Amino acid sequence: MAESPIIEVKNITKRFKGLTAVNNVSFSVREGGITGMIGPNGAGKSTTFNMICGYYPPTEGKIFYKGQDITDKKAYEYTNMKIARTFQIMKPLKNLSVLDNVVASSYFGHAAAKNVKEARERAMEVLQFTGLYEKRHVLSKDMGTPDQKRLEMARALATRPKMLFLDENMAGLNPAETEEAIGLIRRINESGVTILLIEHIMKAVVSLCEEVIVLHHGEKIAEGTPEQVMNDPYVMEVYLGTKKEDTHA
Amino acid sequence: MNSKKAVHTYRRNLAIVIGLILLIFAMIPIMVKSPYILNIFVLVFYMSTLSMAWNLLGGMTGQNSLGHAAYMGLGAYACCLLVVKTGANPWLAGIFGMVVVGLVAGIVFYPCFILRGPYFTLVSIAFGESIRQVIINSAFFGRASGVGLPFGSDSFINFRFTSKVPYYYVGLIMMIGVYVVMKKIDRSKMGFALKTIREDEDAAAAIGINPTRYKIMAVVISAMVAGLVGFFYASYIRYIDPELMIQAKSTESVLPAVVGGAAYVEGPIVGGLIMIPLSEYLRANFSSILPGINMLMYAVMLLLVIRFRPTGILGWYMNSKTKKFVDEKILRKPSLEVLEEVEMMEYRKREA
Repeated sequence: MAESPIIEVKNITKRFKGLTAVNNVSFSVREGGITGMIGPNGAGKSTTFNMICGYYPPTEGKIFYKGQDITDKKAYEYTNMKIARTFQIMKPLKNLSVLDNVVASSYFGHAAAKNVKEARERAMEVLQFTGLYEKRHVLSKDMGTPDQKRLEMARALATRPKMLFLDENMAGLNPAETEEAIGLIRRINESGVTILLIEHIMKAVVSLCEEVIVLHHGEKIAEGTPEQVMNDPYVMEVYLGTKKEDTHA
Repeated sequence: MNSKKAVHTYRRNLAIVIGLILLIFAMIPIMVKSPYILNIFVLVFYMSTLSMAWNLLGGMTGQNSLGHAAYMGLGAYACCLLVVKTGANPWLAGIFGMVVVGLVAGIVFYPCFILRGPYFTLVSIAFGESIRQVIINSAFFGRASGVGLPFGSDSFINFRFTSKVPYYYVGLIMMIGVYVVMKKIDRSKMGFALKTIREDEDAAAAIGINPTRYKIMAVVISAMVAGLVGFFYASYIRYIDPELMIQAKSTESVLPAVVGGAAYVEGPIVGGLIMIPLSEYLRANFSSILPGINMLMYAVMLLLVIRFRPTGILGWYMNSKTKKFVDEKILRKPSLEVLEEVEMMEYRKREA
């Protein structure tokens, strides 16, 4: 199982008019693990995510999921393939209660709930798992950032994914909240979900990820274990050396 | 078991209140003999229904349509022409009208739902105006002079009455029927899909909703309900002309929903019950003093509602002390947790 990559990205490039946001990036994600993607602001991390998740078609290159070419799949086809994602800029359904936010997710995807009861039971389970159960009747727009970040994860989990993309799920959290989020991500992973996450908080990356991919100016400059990557002189120069305020380490 | 009892009491109280409201509406034609007042009620019923059709798109899906008068007019034309040209039964012609409007709306709006943004609103305006121009310039549609339905003796089969009372009841049933359908949609999988699309299309796609597909479903259902209203209108007024589809009429169909509260299925009915009698009252009492002053006053009141109650009358009510009082003292509503517990218990029982 550890042998075959669940996601394989081959030479993807994204150009927005003249600007090359991502240039010829290749990497793979090992099934069952947690892989991190780091890099300074504007390195092309989110663009890479959006390409893998079907939001932007890559200008060049191919993306494979379990050996199957998914480059041209539409974003809404992903949950049927057991892939889910969260957004860096949170997109809660503002005027719905937390419960309804998650119920909406339970109705769709590969294991779509057949009726209200099933959808609500699934939503309750996910809310308990993510620690939002007590707040299920609150309107999602009335919650603070940490809970909205959790809700993002809860909504993704309610589609029962096997592969989860987390886009900066810990940005804006204080150290205690970060600890909780790390625990939650670890529990998700232990339940059998492969995770690829973008993160700025180095502490989280080091404690969670087995493998790290570093992007800079749209290009992959290093990959390996967190220790290897952080001791790479080039990474230290372009990332840790110049953007200390981003590291929090 | 205590919680079960509490929920039971709440539901009984709710049923009594709803029953009382229905009873009042059922009694109105018996107590009120003035055809003028009855006409206002009929107007409220079909305008609220049209507004509910708009609300499925504007309120639930977040797609603002400014062409609902055109769907209504198209439904009215399809049904009238079928009756006049082939002598078909008006009820069947009504169903025919709904199907025609649904098909036309689905085909016309499919391309704009592949795109995002305001295209739908723009096309809906253009759609209304184009349809009107086609009708004005085509002999088949009776040009600008319109189409009249045949007159004759009262008969239910031909949906033809001299009195306003039968129209009152049919209109009331139509409004309630459409309300029940909308409420069902609101709570269904489709309702969740539409509301997710309203909040954020990317977020919708991320959980596996195909936005284009659900938006098409919403526009077709909405247009069909508008077509139904067109059928009712044609049978009531017994004469239709292209003026039915002018832009102002489309805007009129938006108002009850916005004033009542577009986020709520009940919004258009509440808004209709307030705005339409108000508009009639102003017209009756002020237009003779200075022509046009009634429209001005109507506009000022609209502005006041939008300025001070932007979420509509229901939006205000839902967070008000009045609702708290009604829930606690009259309906004796138990807490959400208790309601939830009992509901889940019932789901489980139904499954077994």
